[in-house]
Amino acid sequence: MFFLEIVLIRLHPRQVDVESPTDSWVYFVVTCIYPFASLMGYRTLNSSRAVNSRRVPSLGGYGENCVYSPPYFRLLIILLIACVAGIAFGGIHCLGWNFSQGHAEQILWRAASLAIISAPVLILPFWAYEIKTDNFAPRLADVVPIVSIVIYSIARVILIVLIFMSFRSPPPGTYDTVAWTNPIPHF
Amino acid sequence: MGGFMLYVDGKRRATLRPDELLLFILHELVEMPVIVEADIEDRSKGDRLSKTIAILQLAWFVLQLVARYVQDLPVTLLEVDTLALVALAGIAYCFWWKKPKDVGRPYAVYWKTTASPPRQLAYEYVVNVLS
Repeated sequence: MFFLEIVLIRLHPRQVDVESPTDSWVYFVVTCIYPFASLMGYRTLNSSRAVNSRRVPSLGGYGENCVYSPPYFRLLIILLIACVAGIAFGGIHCLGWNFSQGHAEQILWRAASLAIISAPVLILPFWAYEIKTDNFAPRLADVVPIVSIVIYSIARVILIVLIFMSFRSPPPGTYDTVAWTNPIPHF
Repeated sequence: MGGFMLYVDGKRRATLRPDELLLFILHELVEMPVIVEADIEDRSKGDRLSKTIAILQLAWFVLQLVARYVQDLPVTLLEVDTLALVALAGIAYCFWWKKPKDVGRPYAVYWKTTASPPRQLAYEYVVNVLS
């Protein structure tokens, strides 16, 4: 996301009347990834609609200059929260470690769960170092977190596909309800 | 959140960033806003009920999952995935617990007419690719 941010900022310096090449594929790509860049909280990127309606950007801007705490401190906290959440996400998927499904499916589930745990573990030190040294220039070491993001995304898709594949043969008793929940009213 | 809206000569300019607001206050270009916590909570619209319902549903799901595990009923992969999403929702709820919901109006900050108004504010910049 740092890389995308660098691309965004280089393409569009913060000026109001910059002509943008609407016919180029870069235009399309930037428009697609724009929400994710501000979702990650690294930069406030104002859409013209938000400016016209005089709204506060709901996301982003945590790295902006502020007197109360240095930007790198807030960016580190965001990075830490995101990585811990990712590790917890993968850890809970490891609860499906021994679920009865096909052998290949089981191996895939385990590999994808471990990939989701390990990707934030790899991202955290690299980007924490970049934030701490305040040096976001592209380097060769950036390959590690970017590849981690790609692996994380692929692992997530694999997990979703495996969930839908498990519907082919659900274990007997899947539709049995817990005994004591019946008398209690619930949604 | 509505933020702090700067008004110059009765017309609204843009929402201020924290550093901009502080700079204007230090140079005595705007008045210091006096806001207590109750004022901020008053802006929130009926959020407590919806938050309680959502948390009851999450707790009900987790409770049922634990009960299924205890009673040796099969647990599906979809439920494991949902449990992971519940954990993420729990983290998000912790951080947004005190955020007022659906604030429509910003807090108005008026420019003192003696000084010349700022040329451009941070939130007036536009990412041109989306215009």
